[in-house]
Amino acid sequence: MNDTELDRLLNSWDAPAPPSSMRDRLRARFPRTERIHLGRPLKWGLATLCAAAALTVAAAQTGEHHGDIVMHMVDHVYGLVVFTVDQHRAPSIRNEIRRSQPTVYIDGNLAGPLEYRGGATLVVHAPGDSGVYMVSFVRFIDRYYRNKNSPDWMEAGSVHGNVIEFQAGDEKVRIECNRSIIDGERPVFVAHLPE
Amino acid sequence: MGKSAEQLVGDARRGKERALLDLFDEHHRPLFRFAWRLTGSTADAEDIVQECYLALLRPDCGFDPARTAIRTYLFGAVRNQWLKRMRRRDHDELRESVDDRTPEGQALRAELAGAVARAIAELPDTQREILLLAHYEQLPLAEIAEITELEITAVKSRLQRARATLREMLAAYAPATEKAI
Repeated sequence: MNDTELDRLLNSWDAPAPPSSMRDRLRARFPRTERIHLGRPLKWGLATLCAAAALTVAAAQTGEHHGDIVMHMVDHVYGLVVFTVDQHRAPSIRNEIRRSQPTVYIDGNLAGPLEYRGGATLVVHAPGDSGVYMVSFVRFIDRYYRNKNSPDWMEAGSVHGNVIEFQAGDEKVRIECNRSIIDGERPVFVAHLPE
Repeated sequence: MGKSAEQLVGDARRGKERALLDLFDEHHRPLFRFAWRLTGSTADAEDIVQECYLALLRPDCGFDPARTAIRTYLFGAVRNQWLKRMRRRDHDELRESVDDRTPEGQALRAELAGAVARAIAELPDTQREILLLAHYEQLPLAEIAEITELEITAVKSRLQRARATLREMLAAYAPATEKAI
């Protein structure tokens, strides 16, 4: 039997086509991001938006100047919306960092690895016994994140490309990832927790 | 222009289901055929292919677009999944299942196809996977070498041995080929 004859013989064994439902079954197994409860902030946002709209209409009808109040309301609604959206996106940014083999430097010296905690925050261990720094990419977290024992968040640096940089107390922290984390530049918020 | 595999994998990892489905649409057919010919089972083949795609989303996934083409990576992933299953199962049980799925009993009932399937199932696994990739999926030897983590010369010699064995095993069917095909 020559090569051509063998090839023709082998070609008689066909494989079936993949089941047409295979794609749907893969879709069903696609890991979806856990939904974050947006209930309370969203309700407050909507309520504020309605109030702002009502005030605007009232101001227009009475001719009185309520510009400052309206601007304050609009600013509040904007902050809440950004905060809510960022909270929703934070886990995927955190996962992207986790996959990108981040290296932590404190004042230029190699430091211990990042820790990953709930709420999509990262944790950097401060040198000595000065506690830990929690790191978040959620804008307006300093304004809207409130719960019992809530630490004081403050904007302390930025993330751009593959680098996260911020000031943690007296130390300058730099986290380098092996690929870009986000498009553009975003602020980084830090809270100190004494441990 | 469509997105690169690297972009699609990145998007899929960021939660974009569409990106994973695009990768699936592009590659799943040859992967399924390969898995089916290795396992002899539609359910196992589907499971293996799905696992390979879902593994792409995991943080510890070893896919590096700078070093490996996505097709090569996925074929390698199918092979690894199959080997993992082989280790889990009793080898004899698998062999038996390969024999059971002969096309006589299923969609491919032709005696010739059954004989080819049985002959290929009888090959050592190390030759079988190479024959399937080279003959049925028409992959270049260099890519098969990458998938199987062998030197090209080793791939070439295993392929030659596989074909020589099949030539002997299927000698009786050579005249039938002319009639049947």
